[in-house]
Amino acid sequence: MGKRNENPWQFKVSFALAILMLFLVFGYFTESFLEIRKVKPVSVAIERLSKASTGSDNSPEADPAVEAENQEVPEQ
Amino acid sequence: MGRVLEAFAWASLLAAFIIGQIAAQTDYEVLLQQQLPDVKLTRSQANRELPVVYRMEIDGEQSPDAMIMSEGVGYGGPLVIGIKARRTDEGAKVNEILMLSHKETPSFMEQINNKDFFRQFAGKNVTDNFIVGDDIDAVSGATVSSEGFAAAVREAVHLGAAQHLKLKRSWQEPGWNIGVNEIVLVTLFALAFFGVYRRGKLAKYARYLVMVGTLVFVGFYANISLNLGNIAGIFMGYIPGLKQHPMWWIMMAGALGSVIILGRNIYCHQICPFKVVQDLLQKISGVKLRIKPEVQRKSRTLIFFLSWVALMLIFLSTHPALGSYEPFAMVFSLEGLGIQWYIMPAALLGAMFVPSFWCRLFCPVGLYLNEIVRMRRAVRERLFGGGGKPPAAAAKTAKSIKVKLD
Repeated sequence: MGKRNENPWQFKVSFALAILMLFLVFGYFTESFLEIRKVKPVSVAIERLSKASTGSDNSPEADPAVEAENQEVPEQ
Repeated sequence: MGRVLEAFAWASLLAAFIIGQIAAQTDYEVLLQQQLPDVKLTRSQANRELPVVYRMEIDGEQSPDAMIMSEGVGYGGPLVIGIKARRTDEGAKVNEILMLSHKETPSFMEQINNKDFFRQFAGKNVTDNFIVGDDIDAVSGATVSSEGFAAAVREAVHLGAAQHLKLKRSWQEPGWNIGVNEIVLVTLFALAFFGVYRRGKLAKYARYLVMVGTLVFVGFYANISLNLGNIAGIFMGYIPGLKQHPMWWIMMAGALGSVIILGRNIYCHQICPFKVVQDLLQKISGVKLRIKPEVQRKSRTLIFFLSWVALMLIFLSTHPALGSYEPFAMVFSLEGLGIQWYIMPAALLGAMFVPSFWCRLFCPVGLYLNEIVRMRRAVRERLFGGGGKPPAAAAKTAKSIKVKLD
């Protein structure tokens, strides 16, 4: 009775498919992680937080280049 | 131990979210300088109102072009573009569109670039309409992204034309974007509800119709399956405008509304086109391999773990597509990058031999929707008792049981 529902062959194949899928999903995560490393969000965030704490602001609105007055819109 | 892990998971997600938000703050000049390293940029002081405009200097000479900055929302999240424009006697003309930052799925972006979507903006007057379906053609298979880019260009150039150039508003404002697609999606949800709540032949036909409709329309035509990226995007505020993308709203309202209001996961069982693909593959193969009960029991923990990794990646990068490991978009568009080309066939192979392979072992959307149903039931049970039914319904049930007993 107890062995009626057991089918090791079926379980093994479905488990193997699941493991294969799992490996591929982790492969995808690795690819994404490598992509994120190019941007380095943690170091960018730390840099921005330290800049903010020292009082300097590098936003476009506060850029020193803006200080230079441009009197006219570029024309053809 | 479980509680500690849960607390760690929540704390790390919160930390990743905050870091990602700080790192993703838009810095126009940095973005521009990455694409135009040889150009000296100076923010124009003559145009203090929005949009932000930069003047450009190349090899010490002032360029006749100006760079107008704009932000918008695409399918994957926010996007930043630069619009190179030049003054003319009639106002100004767009010369080039520069894609500076986006969160779109790479395969969608590839389609947009391959089909030269941005080229159609060149030569247009800033007073033109810039409306998809009017003077701009969307790229099929990437309609929402096309709409997002067009809206970003439109809003910036029209604002610039009105504020900076003081031109008269001669352009059309975009109206509601409701057409056949939106009607079809609403009809599919209506038929799905009918098929679930009714019995009989008509309901059976409705279920068949939904099955075909969702495969063709939600899958192959519109390719708008829900994925983890959509859910994470909501937390990050990546919500497209109702006018710009009503399909997104219909999909969210249908999927979330059915679990929150009705306590039924209509999306997974009726609307998800990948579920239909899996069921069809099952019918074709005729093989139904069983999953070991322990594996099935542990799959919930596995999906939570996978979605934790995915959400960490999404929150850190603020890029929903980077964490969405689901194969849906690729199955229906046959566009993908890197390892996605292997995930898709593996998911299909699994579905061929194991019924609802993806749904049962890997799908985070299904798990979350079912969790909402479970939480809703728990809340109702706590509030009303009696199997989670409100007092009136509970009284009615009790009455009918009494009648039967009598």
